[in-house]
Amino acid sequence: MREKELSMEETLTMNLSPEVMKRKTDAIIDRVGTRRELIIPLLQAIQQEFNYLPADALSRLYERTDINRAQVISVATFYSQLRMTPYGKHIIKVCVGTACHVKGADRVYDAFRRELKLEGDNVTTANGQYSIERVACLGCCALAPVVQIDQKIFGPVLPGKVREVLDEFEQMLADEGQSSTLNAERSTPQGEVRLGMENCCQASGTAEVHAAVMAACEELGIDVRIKPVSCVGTCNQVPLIDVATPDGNIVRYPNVKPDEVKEILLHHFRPANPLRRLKNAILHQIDTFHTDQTWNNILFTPEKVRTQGINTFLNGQLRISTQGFGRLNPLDLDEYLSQGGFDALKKAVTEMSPQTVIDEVGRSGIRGRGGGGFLTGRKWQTVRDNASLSSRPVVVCNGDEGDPGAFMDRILLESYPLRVIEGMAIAGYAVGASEGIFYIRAEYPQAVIRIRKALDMCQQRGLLGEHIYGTDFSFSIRVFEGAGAFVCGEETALIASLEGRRGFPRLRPPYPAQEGLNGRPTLINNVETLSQIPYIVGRGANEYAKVGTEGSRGTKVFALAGKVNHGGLIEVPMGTTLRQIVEEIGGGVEGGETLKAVQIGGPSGGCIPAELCDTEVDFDALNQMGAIMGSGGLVVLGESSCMVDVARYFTNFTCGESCGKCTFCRVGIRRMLDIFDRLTTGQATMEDIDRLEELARGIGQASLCGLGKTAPNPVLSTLRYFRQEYEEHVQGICRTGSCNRMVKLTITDDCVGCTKCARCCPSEAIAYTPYEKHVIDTDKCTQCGLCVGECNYNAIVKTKV
Amino acid sequence: MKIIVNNKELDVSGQRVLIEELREAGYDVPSLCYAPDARHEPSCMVCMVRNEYTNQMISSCATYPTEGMRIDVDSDEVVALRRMGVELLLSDHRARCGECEGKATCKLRELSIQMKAKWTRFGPLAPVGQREQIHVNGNLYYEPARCIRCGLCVYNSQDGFTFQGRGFNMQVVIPEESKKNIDEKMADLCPTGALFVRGMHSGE
Repeated sequence: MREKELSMEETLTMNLSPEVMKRKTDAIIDRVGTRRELIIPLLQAIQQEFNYLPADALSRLYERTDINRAQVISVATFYSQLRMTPYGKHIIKVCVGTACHVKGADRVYDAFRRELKLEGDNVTTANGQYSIERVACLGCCALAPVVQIDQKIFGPVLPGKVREVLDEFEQMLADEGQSSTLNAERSTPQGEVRLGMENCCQASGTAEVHAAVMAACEELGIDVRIKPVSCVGTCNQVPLIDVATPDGNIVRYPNVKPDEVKEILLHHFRPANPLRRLKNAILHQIDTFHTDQTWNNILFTPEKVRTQGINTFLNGQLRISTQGFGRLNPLDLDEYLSQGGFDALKKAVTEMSPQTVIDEVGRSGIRGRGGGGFLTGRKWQTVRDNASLSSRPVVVCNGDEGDPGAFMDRILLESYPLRVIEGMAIAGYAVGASEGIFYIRAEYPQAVIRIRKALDMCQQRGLLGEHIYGTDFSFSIRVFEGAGAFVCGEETALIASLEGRRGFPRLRPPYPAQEGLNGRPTLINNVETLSQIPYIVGRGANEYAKVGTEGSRGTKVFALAGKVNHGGLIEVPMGTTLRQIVEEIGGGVEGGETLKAVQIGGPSGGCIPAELCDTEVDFDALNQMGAIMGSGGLVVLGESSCMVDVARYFTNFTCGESCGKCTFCRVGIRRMLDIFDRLTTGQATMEDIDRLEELARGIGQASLCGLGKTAPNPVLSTLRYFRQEYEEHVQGICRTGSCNRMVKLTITDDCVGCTKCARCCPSEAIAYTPYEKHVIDTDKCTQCGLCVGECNYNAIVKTKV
Repeated sequence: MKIIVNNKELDVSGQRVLIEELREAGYDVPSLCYAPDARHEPSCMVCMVRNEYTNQMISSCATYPTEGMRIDVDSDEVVALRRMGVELLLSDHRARCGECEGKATCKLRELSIQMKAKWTRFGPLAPVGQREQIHVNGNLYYEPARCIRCGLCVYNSQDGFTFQGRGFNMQVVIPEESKKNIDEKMADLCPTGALFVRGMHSGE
């Protein structure tokens, strides 16, 4: 049946002759290998080559490898990245992560579908140009709502602006080839211009500013080093430029526009050539008098005013994992070494025995940052104790960060790849491993590229490989790209996926630390945990243990997003209160709303109400409040957020990500979602709330793995703190108007009949009646909200159905 | 090795999974996805018992006893959760016993009656769609609507049955070219009437 669908849609892709396809598939198999466990890399390579998994290529796979159709069906239908039908030339990924969800991602998705004239279940345009899909989280939460087209990220994207986004993308395609390269080095630079070049920074315009800096330097004859640096975390203030002058001063410019770049550069640097200087001066004068732009420019704003938001954001933070933010070039090994990088590894392998390293990590009190908060030292010890000559341990860095609303691991991998590698090598030394694997989520291509580059550099320098620092310790690391399954963040599922199977978790014990990848003791640590190791080993456990609370030592990196003024990536000592984070670092709730709750820990976490936000955040305190630390996504919810909608959102997420192995998770979560569907459409009864609670408790107790056991947390915590809202929904009231089916848009008497709303309505729900009060046809209205934004008279409001 | 079951000491060998030890000692532990001497993965969760130390529910069909383990086999809480598991399975069981060829050997039916599980507690009775019966091999047929996705047929066939999709939409399927690898005995493993040998119980 599937084959038939393919031939129908074959026309969408390039029509390859069977011979060419066979030859290309053969080349892939020769490159990757023929063993069963290589199925995921094989399928990924085939998909990269042909844009999907064509039947002919798969047939060739069955012929030449140990893989059969049953295994391909099992694996290819499990991972969401793999697809059996061809996609269009460009893929539009609409992020529906938590932060994007609360900012209206669903309406953006609908707007794209309308703009591309997609009907029914179709996801590909008739001309084969675009395909569209929802993705769990692109990890650019501070730019929400975010859309990614091919490799380019756009944000924030409003439902009314999708045409502009598409135009911009098409323009970019036309301009391609003129783009500049990173790492431009010059001979004797006069100073440095530093820009954050993470995926999210590039998306919000730093790429354009970067190009402008390059062009301006060229044009003005200014000789500065343009340096891509690690993430500062102030996602709401980008593009951010730091100008470092030779005298050591650093001047910071937030929210820079490309046309301001020249001005900034001229302010700090003098062109090398006197003639150029004169010419610039004259042209500058002319510019000043002929444009009004210059009078309202960035240089006229005093630095204090300019950087106030950043300073309050950075105060109260403490950097261990993100040390060197805004200063280090992520891929400059020499710089990292000159700042004390790899000293900890050197100290470990040359001065310490593996057991002393484990003891040191144990004494520091660090707990795993992946979610559970298990003592890292104890885990390392278990791995070491289970090691034997016949089964050597292996170290896996878990970079399968899938929580919608979380992007810490992505930033750490993109900005501080060398630190994570160092931590991993130390872990390898301590547990007696010679092999390490980076398991990185499919949605983080930039992280994969940077880690690969960083690994190459370390290998060349002898920091990885044979006989590190002249000792007997040898360690090498490879990268494994995930294929799109949230459950693979669970360690036993991650191992299944590394072994080439669908990501089914298994019962523990035995724990992976005892029996993991191919039966070997396997140390699985989260990215953030590993990034703290160099500090612990380098500075000593006592120094580290000074930071944090009694039960939770050290710092925690959080992704701060949602309805907050200054979202971004932050690192704070354990024990900081949520209110400090939201009010002081985050600058309060967006739009002057009052804080309602903070959602922490993603789909496994819970909603902590505003009245409990003064509690100090650590692993134990959060557990008591019915949430978990999780990987550390913090989504701020204001009074305009509907808690039932938030709980439904997470339930919907885990329902789609459940692996399907055990009854409670597979069927139970689906049944919870059924109840939510009734609640958010006003069809639920009071008994439904009780049944929801009963189900949630049952799923939490009787599911097989961590995903199922924690899936009810968002439901239970909202039931615990916001039960009244559930009861209101039973009565048909959604105060915030988030539950679409319970409200309708109506036009009030303030309407002057300007027809603006009628013209913008994509579903023709408003009749074109000039100078008369407009009326919305509720049956046609999709509640996209475009008209609300268009109306100049605030005449369109949400009312109860 | 000694473990404590329902506050009573029990001597066990430690070589067999908990469910075997408990059954031998006379405790009635139900199960669907477990079959002695066959490969299996815990999935149905109706064999769960409570580990009194951690207060976690564990599937007794995949857990080996350890020294000093404290198990609660049939408290009200455990029994209620088991019933919930069966009720969840029934809520997605798109078939009716009256017209099922496999009902004579159906463990799901047996358990539902025994536990007084209600079909409709978690939603309306799942609609019976078109009854697709797939011919597998010989007299062996497969009706997907009755399947509870326990995976016994998947884990015990080489290049045969396989899972497709994930989560609630996960199904057990069989590729055309793999059908020849399956023989009629597979029906004995299936805890429902999803895999059945036509004509076997024709009198019923």
